[in-house]
Amino acid sequence: MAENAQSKVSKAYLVLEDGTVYEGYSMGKCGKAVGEVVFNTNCSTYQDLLSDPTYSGQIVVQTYPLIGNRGVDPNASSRLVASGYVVREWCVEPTDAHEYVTLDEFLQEDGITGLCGVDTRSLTRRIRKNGVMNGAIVDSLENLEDLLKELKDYRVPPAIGKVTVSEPVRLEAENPKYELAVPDYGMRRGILDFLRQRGCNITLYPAYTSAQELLKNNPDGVMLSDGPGDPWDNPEIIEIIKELTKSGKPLFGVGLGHQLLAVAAGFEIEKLPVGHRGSNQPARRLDTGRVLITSQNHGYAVAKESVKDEIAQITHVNVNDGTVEGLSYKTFPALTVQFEPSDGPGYQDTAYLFDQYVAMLEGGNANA
Amino acid sequence: MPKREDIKKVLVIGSGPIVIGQAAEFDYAGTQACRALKEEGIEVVLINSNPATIMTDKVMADHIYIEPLRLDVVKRILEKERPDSVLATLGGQTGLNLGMELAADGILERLNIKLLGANPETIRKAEDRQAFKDTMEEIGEPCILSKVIETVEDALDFAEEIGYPVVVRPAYTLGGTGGGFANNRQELHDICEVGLRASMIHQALIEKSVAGWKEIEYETVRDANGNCITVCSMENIDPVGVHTGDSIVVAPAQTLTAPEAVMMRSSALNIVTALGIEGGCNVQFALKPNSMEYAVIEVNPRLSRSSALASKATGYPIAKVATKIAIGYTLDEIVNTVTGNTYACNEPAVDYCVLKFPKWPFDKFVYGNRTIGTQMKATGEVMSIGTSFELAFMKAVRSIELGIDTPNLPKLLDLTKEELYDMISHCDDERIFVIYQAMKKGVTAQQVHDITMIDHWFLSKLKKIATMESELSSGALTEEKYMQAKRLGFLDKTIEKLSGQQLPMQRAAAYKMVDTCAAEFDAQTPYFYSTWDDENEAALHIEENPNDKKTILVFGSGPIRIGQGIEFDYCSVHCVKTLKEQGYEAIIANNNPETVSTDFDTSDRLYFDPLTPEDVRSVVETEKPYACVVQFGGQTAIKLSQHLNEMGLKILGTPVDSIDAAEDKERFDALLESLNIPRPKGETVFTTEEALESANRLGYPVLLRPSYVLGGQNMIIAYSDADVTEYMAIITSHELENPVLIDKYMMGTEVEVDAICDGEDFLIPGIMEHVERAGIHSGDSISVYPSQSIPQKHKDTIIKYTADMAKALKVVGLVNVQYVIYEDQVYVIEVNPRSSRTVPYISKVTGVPMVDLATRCMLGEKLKDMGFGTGLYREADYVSVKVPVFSFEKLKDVDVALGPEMKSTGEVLGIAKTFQDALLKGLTAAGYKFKKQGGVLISVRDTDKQEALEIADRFAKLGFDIYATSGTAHLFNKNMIAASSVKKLSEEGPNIADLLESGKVDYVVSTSAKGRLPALDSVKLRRMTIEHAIPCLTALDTATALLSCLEMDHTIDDLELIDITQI
Repeated sequence: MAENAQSKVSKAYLVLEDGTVYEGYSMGKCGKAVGEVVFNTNCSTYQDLLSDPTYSGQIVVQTYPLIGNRGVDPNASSRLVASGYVVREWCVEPTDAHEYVTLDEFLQEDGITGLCGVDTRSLTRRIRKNGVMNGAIVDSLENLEDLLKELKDYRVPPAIGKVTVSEPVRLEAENPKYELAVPDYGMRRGILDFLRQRGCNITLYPAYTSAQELLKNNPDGVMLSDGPGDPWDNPEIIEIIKELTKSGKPLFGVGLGHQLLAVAAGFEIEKLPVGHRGSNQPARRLDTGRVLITSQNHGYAVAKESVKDEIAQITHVNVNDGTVEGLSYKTFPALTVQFEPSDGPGYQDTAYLFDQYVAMLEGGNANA
Repeated sequence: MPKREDIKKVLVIGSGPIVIGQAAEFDYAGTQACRALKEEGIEVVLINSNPATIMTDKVMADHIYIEPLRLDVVKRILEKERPDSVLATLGGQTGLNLGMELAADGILERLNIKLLGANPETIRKAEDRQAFKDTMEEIGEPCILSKVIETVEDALDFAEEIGYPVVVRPAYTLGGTGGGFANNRQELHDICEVGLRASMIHQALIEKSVAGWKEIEYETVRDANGNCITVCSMENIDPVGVHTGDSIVVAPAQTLTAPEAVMMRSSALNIVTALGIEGGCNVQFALKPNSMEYAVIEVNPRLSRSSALASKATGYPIAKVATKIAIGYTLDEIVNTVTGNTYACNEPAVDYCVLKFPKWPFDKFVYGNRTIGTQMKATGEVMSIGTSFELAFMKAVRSIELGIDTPNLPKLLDLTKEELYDMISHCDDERIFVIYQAMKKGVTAQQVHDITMIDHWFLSKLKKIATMESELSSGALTEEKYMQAKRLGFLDKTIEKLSGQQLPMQRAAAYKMVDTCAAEFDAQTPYFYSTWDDENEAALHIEENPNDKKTILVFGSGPIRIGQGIEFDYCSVHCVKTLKEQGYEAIIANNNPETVSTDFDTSDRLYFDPLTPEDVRSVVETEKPYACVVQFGGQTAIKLSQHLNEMGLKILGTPVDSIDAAEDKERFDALLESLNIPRPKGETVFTTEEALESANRLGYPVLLRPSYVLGGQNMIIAYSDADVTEYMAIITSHELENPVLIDKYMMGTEVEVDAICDGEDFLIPGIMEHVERAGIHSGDSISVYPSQSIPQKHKDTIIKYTADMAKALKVVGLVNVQYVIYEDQVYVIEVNPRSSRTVPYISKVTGVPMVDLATRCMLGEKLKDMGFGTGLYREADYVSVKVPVFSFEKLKDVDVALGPEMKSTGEVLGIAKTFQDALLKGLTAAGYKFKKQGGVLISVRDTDKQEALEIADRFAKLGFDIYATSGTAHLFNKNMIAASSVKKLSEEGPNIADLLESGKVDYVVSTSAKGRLPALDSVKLRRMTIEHAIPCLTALDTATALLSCLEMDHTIDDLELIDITQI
């Protein structure tokens, strides 16, 4: 236990599906949290990370050991969605303590169960070797067998319904040139700023809004947002997207949106052994050979072999494992990427994608 | 892009001698570069004047020139070798400047040679103040606003424009005199008036002050395709105002918000992209706390000290990657050899906290000005890695070899809260310890922050260590408390001492891997640091990779300091190489990030941790080595011997007891007596009274030193009772655990020998003779091999004595012996049964691989079977002269006079057919310009006056004007040497100071009888020569050597440049 102050709180445990137990101390809300245990290698981001809806149903392990050094802004708009959070050490006396709250306080307020004082590297190594596993943060090891059974059966629940907007939300650009319809699968709003800066008025729709409804006001294009979970959990949305591809409207897919469109186009999805979660994932642009440093947070990917040449072209691949990072469609106007083009440290490498998409909107206009 | 096909032969430019600000990190970078080129099948030509480096080893390059790093010399090498490319970005500022000079000269164009790594335009944009400012403006990156002004009014106008506070930096003043901070109009007016008057050209730079802003650095790498990553962010604990080389630095940056981190990273990448860097680049920022406002401080378009640190901190080999980029590869084509399955375009992710702590030379320079600021003063550094800041900090504190295990500096312990509080505002090398002590005594973090602007986060961590200290001193020592203390970096012995209780449990550290990727990928390269977790990755790694080899642990030499430099890293690296060749697994334990020994692929496994007995014990528990080696790691490793012995670990080579026998005066005397070997008479004393008695009994001059010395630390020659009294006062103020030794000082010819011994036979690669008479530390003497003036009978005696002592001390491995020949008799001065400073250069010039042979002896082989014979090795055809290099201009108030205490930071070598030519090369490489006309100022102590006559005469015959203080001038004139008399410093002007300022003096010869107090006239005079960049010769023999070069009718242009791979 690294922090004296932290040692005064009660013991807690992370139990993995394979029976491994990591002992630590409770952080945030006491109690039990179940989720798929995934690790993230980002060193400087923690608040944004926890509010990313794609972490829904997951327990996040941060590989960087010293977390919360600057405290947490209690007034940030996004609420936390991760099921649980595991760190080695959270900062008792953050630099901006007078304005901000500590990570521990923040997690308590948002009702997120956390665990600290854990050898996060050992935990990460275990996940890397065995693949992503389910796990639970608990404050006692009673009824361990029941818990293990529960973990075996646990599936990240479909969460889009919970994280999407409940009714349409209108976001206007300063100098509007285009109208964009965006079904919200559980996205971080930051990405929309990049589009608004490029003249897109945006209407966010609840995730299950029909294609007809999305296209009702004749938008220039439709963006398929990122979101949590297994793409196969969303057959209705896939059907809606199939409809959208027939509209001829330029589509822009990110993260889950990229995967859903691939499924709609008939491609396969595979689950990655440990996923890509961090701000340092290298993706190669196949047109220029440039390597983009990207922020990523996903456990599924479009299966490379399933991408049919006549339907789409692979535009980006991950330099490390060769997985598909981007697609450009031939039979309808669409470009999609697996990574977060607006996010974190790599945005300047990837922001060109917004320009490309806007150019497609412009082309669409010219046709109209 | 694959490798460029038009690159077949590359000249790599090294960084030259070790000086403050340019140290071993460039040997590390250069070595990686040479390896990276050779593995591509590229022919490598290397130039570096520094013979102590690993990069100048025969295996590192195809053609190696240990020659002066000057434009004319490099041009001649280009003409001779005709490489198709030059790589200049790995040789520090020296290399980069040479690259620029070559480009400007036109020779590259003429011979169709490419400048790899950074093109001249890139270098200009980064290095030229105006071009840099313009470039930053173009891409919208904020610089620190500044303007050159010549009037107070202009200064005031500009300050109005940019806002106060501002810094005034007068141009061309000595040591920054006349400058300062101005918070308002009145202050600026006053400072400017003084500053402009102080400036020789009546100019000053007015700069917006960013003092107190955070200092943040990013290490970046970019390739020709525009791919660009940041390897690591770093944060200086000391805000802007302290040179980053003198700052305690953490990596990654700890106190940035996520948006700040993204902002600075983006800015760094924008900058390297705009500059068109192809390779590594360092960007330094000032960040105003809580404002999202920042400014670019500077950019280094080359490998740097910071890039070496970033490489070691992340495991990402920047120098290697930069070299591969230089020859055409892109980041996504270069495999990350640490993981073996990712590429160099993967930004490293770390899962630990790294800390760098500087090593300053003030333990040696007791009169040195300890203030730290914009001028770097540290000679070296240590790095530590921990799962928490506290752990890393405590590891660093015990790695810098100040004799402390916690941040409690003994001399601060008894100060009051108020005294400590007052000291915080003075920024010197000990400030972090003052802060720690002050917080322990009740000064609040807020108070410390208000004075220092050090971020609260760091202060709260120090506070936590202090709290643990007091918690340990009260209450029961439970297992839980014990483990908490361990995780904060406390040693067992400290916990025991503080608690006064027995440890409730004892456990060894567990090791984690540095893998560039925070465990996201499986890593291949075993580079470890200690933690107090349960999972021990080092043990797992050993278990998963079983082999039949015996494991041998080699201890490195820790931080670079005066007296223990890069030479010892050379020896450690060679030992490891030999052990591997001989079929052993070689493990390194060391804590210096600048070195080749801590490169991830030097040893079979690397432990980056402190070198204290307890830290080492944990390594031993995990590794369970067959044996260990201490004799190549300098005093740092030797100090461990006793503990290793007690631990039951076998130490290869010379027995531990022999080290004691050589260092314990009484035992050593008895040994010499039994061998019938004479040494200068000496006595052991404890008090000033005893010292005075003893000195008078032996007769002045006498040599004083504490027993157990390193590089002549705190050693002086005393000519009078006053000297003895001054010296004893200093020593007794330090510590008196060890007695002081007083020896009769013999002013004879000094001779040095390194020998390899196998327990029966010995091999002496060569006998070195010092140009200066005894009394100047061997590390500061000009030394020549083969010896030039030693008669055969003395050589025979030296060989016999060396053999006898080696045998008596049961030396297996290396031994270094220093002799003085005085009145036709050979005396032993000292014996060191370990590797020495001279080993690398003697190995290179004799062709005897000394460390390799010594290591094999330690493993049981016999010299007679190794093919190099026994006894004295045949003399080389070439003469080699080693010349010391100093960093005096960076160390205010330090007396530059040479003496028994070592002062040089590095060395260069001159190799030629004759002694004179080698000397000319050596002195040229050391920076002497050989101005053949002008003026010489001679000011010598009375005992030197007769000899000074000849020197004055020879200077006069060359046409120099001679200046001297009245007594000396009178003597010269009486002897028909025209000399002008100059008033002493203490006399009313015009005096010596005005003369030096006038520019009429080109050389100063200054010797003095008295001590080292900065207030002394002679010390001041010598300091002034440094500030005017006038060569100052403080030994008559050095002056004579220089004269002999001035009298030569040829220059360096006439001398053959020697490829040492051909000799």
